[in-house]
Amino acid sequence: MKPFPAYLKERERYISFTVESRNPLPKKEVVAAVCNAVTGYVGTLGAAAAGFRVIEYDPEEQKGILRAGAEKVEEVIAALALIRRIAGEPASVLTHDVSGTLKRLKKVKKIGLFETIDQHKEE
Amino acid sequence: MRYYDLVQDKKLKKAAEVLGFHQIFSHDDLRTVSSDRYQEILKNVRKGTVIIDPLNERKTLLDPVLAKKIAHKNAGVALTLQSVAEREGLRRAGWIHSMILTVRICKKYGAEVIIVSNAPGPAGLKNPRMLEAFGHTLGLTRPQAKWACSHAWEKVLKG
Repeated sequence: MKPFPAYLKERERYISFTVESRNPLPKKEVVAAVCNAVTGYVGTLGAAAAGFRVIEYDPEEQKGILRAGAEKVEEVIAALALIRRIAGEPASVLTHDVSGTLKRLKKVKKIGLFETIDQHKEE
Repeated sequence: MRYYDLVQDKKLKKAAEVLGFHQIFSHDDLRTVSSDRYQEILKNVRKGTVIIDPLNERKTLLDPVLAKKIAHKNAGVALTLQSVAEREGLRRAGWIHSMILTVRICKKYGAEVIIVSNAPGPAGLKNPRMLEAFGHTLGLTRPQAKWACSHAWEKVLKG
């Protein structure tokens, strides 16, 4: 079989994200919310052109990694910015790093946005 | 680079450091105009004014006269993420279309575009990178989107 020409290859980017919510959310709900947000904002065709895919999600640490085409990264990030609720609970998806390799994205940690705001409210 | 944001709730200001903002403003800290009537906006544009979403689902309220006045007075046009998030379907599409037209007019006449979250609660807070990405989808280039979250604020605040 003839090798796939390099210039036709998609340039991929990996986006690390964390889910900020008061209670940990199940993987199924998070993945569904992320997919719905992206298809809702960029559309089915846009998501297809972006080669959008949720690579992994860790429900314990509430962090995950997405894949998107290099030219559609901004649109995917903007779509994630519109998520306000996951499984009926107030939640926010925050993106952290964009990288061409998966290795660099493993170090990302959850910020604890809701906890920080609650602490300051008590003070 | 110093990033700024505008929120609805004063209590959210404390989250600025966690998310990487230099400062977060609430509506009380600034001179803001939020109206869907052209004449009202035109009358209230002064130095340092932030005009929040001068548009509706069908059209932008900016025209060359208003855009030139905004540019002349060093005021800013704030486009909010919250207004997009609270709409769905065709209403959201219409709203984004009006935002794209607003950005186009602002770029032509040199009015400052500001991208803000205008978050009513913690779920609405986003980091500067996400605001930039939102600006980019509205028709700004990457450097322009970065400017809209940082230096544009400084220019408007100076008046």
